[in-house]
Amino acid sequence: MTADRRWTIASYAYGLLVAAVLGYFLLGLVVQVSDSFGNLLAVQRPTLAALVRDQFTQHAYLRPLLWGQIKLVYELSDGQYYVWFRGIHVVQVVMLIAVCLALMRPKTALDAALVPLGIAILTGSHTFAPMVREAFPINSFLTIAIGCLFAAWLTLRDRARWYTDALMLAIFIGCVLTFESGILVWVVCVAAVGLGARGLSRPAVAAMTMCLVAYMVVRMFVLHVGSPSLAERASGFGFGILEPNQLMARFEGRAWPFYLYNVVSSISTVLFSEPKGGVWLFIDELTRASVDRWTAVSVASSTVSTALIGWFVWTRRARFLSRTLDRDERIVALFLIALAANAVISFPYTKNIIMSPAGAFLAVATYVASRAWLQAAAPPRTAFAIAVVTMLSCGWAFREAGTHYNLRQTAAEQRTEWVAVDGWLERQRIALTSDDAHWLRDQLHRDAVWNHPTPFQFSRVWARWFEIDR
Amino acid sequence: MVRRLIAILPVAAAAVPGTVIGVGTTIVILLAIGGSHPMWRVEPINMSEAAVLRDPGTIVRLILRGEDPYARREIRADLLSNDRLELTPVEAGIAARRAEVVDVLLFSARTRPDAATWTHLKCLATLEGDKDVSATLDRYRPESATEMCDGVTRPWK
Repeated sequence: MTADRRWTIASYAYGLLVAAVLGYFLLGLVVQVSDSFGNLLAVQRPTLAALVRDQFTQHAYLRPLLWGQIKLVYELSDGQYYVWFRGIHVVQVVMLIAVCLALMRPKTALDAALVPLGIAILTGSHTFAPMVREAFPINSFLTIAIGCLFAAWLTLRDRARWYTDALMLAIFIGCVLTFESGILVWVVCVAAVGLGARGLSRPAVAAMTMCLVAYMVVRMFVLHVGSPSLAERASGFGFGILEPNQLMARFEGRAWPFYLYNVVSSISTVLFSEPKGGVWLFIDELTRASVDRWTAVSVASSTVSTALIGWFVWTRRARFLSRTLDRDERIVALFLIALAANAVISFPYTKNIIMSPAGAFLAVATYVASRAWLQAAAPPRTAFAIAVVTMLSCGWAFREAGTHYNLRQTAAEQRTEWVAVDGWLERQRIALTSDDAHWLRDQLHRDAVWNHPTPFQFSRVWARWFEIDR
Repeated sequence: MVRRLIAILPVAAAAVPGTVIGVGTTIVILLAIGGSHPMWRVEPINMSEAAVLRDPGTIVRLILRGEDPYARREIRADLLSNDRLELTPVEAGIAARRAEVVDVLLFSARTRPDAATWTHLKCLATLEGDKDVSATLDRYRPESATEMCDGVTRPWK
């Protein structure tokens, strides 16, 4: 076995270990009440065709394949909802870690040494946590993040082939009809080809662009599907959350300052972990002189990651300007482009999870920048360079552990929600009118309370260390 | 020799946190599979303690197993107060000011509280000064119940 292969195998083995731990925690969660039970009730009666067709008459969203996927899995599960929906969540996480490793392409001892850092950034980020904490009951954000990283990996390959072109086109159409953020897959492909990548042919890019134009035209002028209005949902602003009525009172008729705020906040949250969900928590805690350790570590680790990427871009600015880039430089450039595009399409409101594709690219970009940073380290700077990467790894490792804790806490909270499910149904004005609906409720309730229970823990010691990033 | 050490130092230093994470992750999964998660150590609790911990899932499980929600149980020290206490789950819910827990207990119980028990609980809620808990109790009031609280004191401080 060659040395290259040995380090590659070691890296993938590590990725598998991390995925196994996450899988364990993911299987501690059940199909949740909010966002999942209601969706399952909605797919019970209509046929697959009717369900997909109905999605074309929605006001603010166009997600026919998302509902198609939920219906398909619901029918395939044949009553084994926990096994199927939670199993799919685990498979999604395994795929995300695998495609992230493929993009990192670890071949040397240094590469393999930095893989835990890269994966810790991927799984410890506040943009990742909601992807594993929530499901609808299939997490579409996770689907899009996988699609974006896969698009980058495929496009950065040495040459295009007809079947990879066809695959990429199919993935793009699948993603964009699953979730609006699927547009990012097109952004990644076009940007990568524009940066000189050869893994996707220009005809394939043209075909994807034509599909995108068709999607936009049909969405806007045929189906008249708009974007979410201010009255749609609460959103973070400044140091707090504004409810829809407050957003309307403040921004109705002149929404662009709010949209601009959302775009800037979305970029900043990936680069600095501040604000989170549009709320400037760190600044607020700083002014009150009571910075929580979770907030401090989050902001510090993200800022150091950003600084390393900034160093990487600065030291190679001539190559960036002349656009004669190698694979690593293309990855960092793709991160910056994906970050900007992700933030722009997230203009209607801010949520950590929306920036999850950019958060995934941050992991790969930091991995690339850290490797370059260590390779460039020469005396007398060596000790400083090593100290930076060591501190960075420790910070992100702490955040990765936080994700595990958050998943456990969420599992216990979900169980509590299932106990009070009838109250939730009443508040949502949902009446269970069929035997199937009652059976579904009873089955999911049984899963939460009896079959896969996660009780609250007696001790609150760890709660002092980890905060849940909503 | 020194030069070679300097050359591998960045790799070794970069590997240290990763190795620590890797070893930590392995320990986590092994302990978790063995049912003893290092960050989520779950100890057996009784229904009164579940009420204090706002854990309706455990409460429902215990009631469905046939346990009596009106029986007194010991609550270990430092959970509700510095000392050990003996409270019924509903009393514990009132002491912890958990209206939703009191609701789950009374809703899930096989029998409604009798008039004397209800009066006692209502008096405790009034003494505790929690309007939400009081309002929750009102929904389960037996017809013959009164609100005469003479001699009722809170068993907790």
